[in-house]
Amino acid sequence: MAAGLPEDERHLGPIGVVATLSALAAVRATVAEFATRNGAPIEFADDLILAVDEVCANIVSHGYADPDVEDAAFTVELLARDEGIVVVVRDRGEAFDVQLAPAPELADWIARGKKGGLGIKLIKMLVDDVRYRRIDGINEVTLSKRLPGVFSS
Amino acid sequence: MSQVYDGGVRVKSLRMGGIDLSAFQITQEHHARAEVLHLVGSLDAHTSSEVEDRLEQLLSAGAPALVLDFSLVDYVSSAGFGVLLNALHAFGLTGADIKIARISERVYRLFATLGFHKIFDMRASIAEAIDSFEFLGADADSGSGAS
Repeated sequence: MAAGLPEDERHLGPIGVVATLSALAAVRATVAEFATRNGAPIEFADDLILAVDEVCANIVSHGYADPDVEDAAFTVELLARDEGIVVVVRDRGEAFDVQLAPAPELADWIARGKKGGLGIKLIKMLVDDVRYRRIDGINEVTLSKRLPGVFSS
Repeated sequence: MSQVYDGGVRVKSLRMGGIDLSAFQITQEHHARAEVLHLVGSLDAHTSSEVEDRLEQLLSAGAPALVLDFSLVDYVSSAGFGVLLNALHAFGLTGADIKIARISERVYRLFATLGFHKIFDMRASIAEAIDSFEFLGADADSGSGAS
């Protein structure tokens, strides 16, 4: 992916984002622009956008649920690799391990008519790898999505 | 640790050509056989509560049939799917029905990823959606006034 682009076109951020729900549209637009510029097919980009949006929405709604937190913010960093795109999202909110979080079975979720958990399910469905770590009070979620036909070595 | 946030511009919201990308618009159109909601924008964690409120209003008002015009909906996240599914359940309990009309190919693909294309009744046009409601003694409005 993006073999023809110079290195600085293949790495964006970390971009700082104020942790509000109204900022999610800007994050999606940023991911869309980056993925398209780096040659990602539209379906690939759409899946990645949705997965990143779910991670960021979780940070705003749950990680920074405490209204007393000042300067609630997160960052989004995008890297285009030959095999796909990697997105790293960092925040200083409550610890939440998205990697370990249970994802509901879709049939159960639909039958229950409950909202919770679908975002986690989507993240795990739409990207190939989800990693979480917390270092010095910072949550770091790394999403990797491989191009179709490219396999990890 | 502050360097984490030193990467660049701090984004609050995005405006392009005077249009706020995070805004969502709902207009309601009354038909004899159904209410039609024209939705414009992205149905995400920010905007889905607006749709949820409107759907709850229609539910408490006893609307028997609802068409959601998705032609200008460009995105749906889990929050949006949650609102839609809850509405389908809630309306179903009252014997009311919801149809989705004119969904774009890209948004349809998101529905299909989750298997939601099998749960929601999707129609190519608003008129077709209205005609597909089953009513006893329904009158003749076929929804031809839909935009």
